[in-house]
Amino acid sequence: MFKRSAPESPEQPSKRRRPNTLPHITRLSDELLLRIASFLHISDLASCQRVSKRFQRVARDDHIWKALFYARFVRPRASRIPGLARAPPSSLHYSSRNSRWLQDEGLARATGTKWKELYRLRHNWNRGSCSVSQITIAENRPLPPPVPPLMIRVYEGLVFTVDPTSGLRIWRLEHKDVPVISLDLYQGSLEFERYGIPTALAIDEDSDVKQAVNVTVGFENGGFGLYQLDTATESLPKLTLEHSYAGPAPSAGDSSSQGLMITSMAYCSPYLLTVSSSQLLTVYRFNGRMMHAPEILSSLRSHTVWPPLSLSLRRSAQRSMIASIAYAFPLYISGWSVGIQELRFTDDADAVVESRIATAVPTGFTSSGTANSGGSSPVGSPAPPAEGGGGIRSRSKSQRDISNATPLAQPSSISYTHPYLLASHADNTLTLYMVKSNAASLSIEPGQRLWGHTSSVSTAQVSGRGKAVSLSKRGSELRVWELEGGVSERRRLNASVKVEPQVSPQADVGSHWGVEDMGWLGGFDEEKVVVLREQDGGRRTLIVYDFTL
Amino acid sequence: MSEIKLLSSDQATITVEKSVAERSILIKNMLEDVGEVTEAIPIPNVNENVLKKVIEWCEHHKGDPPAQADDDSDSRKKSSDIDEWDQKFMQVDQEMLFEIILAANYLDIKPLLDVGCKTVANMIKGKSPEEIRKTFNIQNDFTPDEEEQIRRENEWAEESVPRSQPLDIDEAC
Repeated sequence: MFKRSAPESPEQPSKRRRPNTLPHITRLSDELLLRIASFLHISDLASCQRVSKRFQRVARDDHIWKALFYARFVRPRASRIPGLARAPPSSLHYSSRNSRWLQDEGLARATGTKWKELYRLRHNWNRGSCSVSQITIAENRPLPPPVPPLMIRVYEGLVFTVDPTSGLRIWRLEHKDVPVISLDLYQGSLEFERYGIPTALAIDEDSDVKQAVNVTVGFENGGFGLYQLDTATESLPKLTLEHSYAGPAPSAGDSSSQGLMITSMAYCSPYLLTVSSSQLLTVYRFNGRMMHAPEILSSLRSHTVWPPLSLSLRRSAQRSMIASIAYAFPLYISGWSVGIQELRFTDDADAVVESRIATAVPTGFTSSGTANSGGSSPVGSPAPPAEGGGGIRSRSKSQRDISNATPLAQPSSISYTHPYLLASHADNTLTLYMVKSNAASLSIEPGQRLWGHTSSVSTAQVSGRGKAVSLSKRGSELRVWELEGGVSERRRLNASVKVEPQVSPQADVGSHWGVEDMGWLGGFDEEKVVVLREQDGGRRTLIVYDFTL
Repeated sequence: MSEIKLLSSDQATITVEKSVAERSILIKNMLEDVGEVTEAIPIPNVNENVLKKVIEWCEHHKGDPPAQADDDSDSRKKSSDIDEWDQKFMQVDQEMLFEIILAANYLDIKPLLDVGCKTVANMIKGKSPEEIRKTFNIQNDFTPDEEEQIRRENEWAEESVPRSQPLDIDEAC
């Protein structure tokens, strides 16, 4: 670094003069080499790393890769996000003080982020390149039908599974033969007779508690258990049952406990949202440590909500929590559509503060029992199907709308992570709905069909950043979608990339899916996608696609 | 139209228009600090040949909008395109090319520094490691095994990818 006074100082001996044999480029400081490297593309940086040790150091410098990451993965996204596109251009420049890193803000702020690795990870996602390995969940022994359900969640590098025989298990990719932790569900206060088999699994992804993961398992008879995974000690994580709740007592009116079965849950401490097989939606709140009687904030029964459905809980402003249920429902003329209901709670109120509903049904087209205006809700209001009511009028318009936007068959799965509502279909397509939720209103924009799959889609899941993963019914076709900000007409046909795992010869994976195999998407995180493969004869394996390669 | 004198490292005095010399942030700041100068300003790191070359560049670009003092690198052109005049200007031997880069860095002339760095970057682009070594006369200090290992680690980056915009590293916070 020069000093202001340098020019006036007595002249330095010209010791910089070196014999001409020395390469001139060695005279440049690392700082200057970095500046040169900043004009290079990644393929040239790859070559530079092999030139010499000094070049290697420069070409893998984090500053270079951070800037490359921004230019390729952050800035282009900004233009796709409504609202940001019109932001002053200066705010989208990498080096401005207030540059926008969007959801990658945390990475940008954190020290010690390995930018080259991160770049490589995103690069692999974009190209669908990954390695693949497998975890055997249940061995070859034929299981009597019906095969007990297996629930899977993926969270921060851990795979959570729950099933009646093996209990709650947590797996890590590095130890794929045995789970890191295995916990018998029927210990302590959870008797099998009372709770039944596990039927739902959810993870609190929004927990403030560091080094602990809150997990909940829902059961056949309406009860649930809350577990905490302590990850403070890296080598020896602990999984403990924190609380359990046996569920509502079977009322005299209910002939069987069948309707109590928890089919889906969402957990965001201290709130828990469950839905039962009889479409009873319940919101619990836990006060402090008291668990034996969780506070039931709301309990609503629906007659018009059909599976598949997706529950979610998210924090919003003003210390409030929004519970939502996204669901499918049949239209009377033909086909299916999706709807969403939001219930808002505040931490200090004992009941629902606000409830509202929206559907993707085009305006002017009335479906069974679902008014497009807010207020009345299918969940909660008995709303018996009004046969022949509405719907038929303006038939021509409806048909046009349906052919444009409305899937004709019942979706095979629904995933909702605000603001993305993604439905998968047996007709090889997905439909993306953008949900708008603000203080004034809740609405669903017309669906956008997404093409890419060449066979029936069994499951699709979407994350808050708009990244989605979908799997074909037979498991062989896995696709990754970039849906952030919605999908423009231009990108409709190439919004996804097919995942092509690189199978090394010594890999233990039979990566070929049999024609009778069934595939279900278990979940995904920043680095991995986990798929459940069910083979004929009851053998079940988790296939792990690792994008860190 | 005032003029100032610059004294190169090899004791040559060069007279230059003040506004041209002020393309150098170093000189500009210095003149602001000391006010009127009559004596030649010593530029101890730059010899006469190089200094003349740098002044030639400054004269051609004196009409450009002034470089921003806070080095807001976004105002820099981010592409590796170099305008035609600059390309011709940079058709010099490697010794002179690196001298210009060092001088531009020392004198704090960001646009010239970038032209120099882009020129070097363009000499690297599309070349194999061996070709890069040959171009710059660099000694390979890797063992064949080490080099192979690095090659494998970076295989993913060698495949063609959508070209992202080149970028700058100025504010790698």
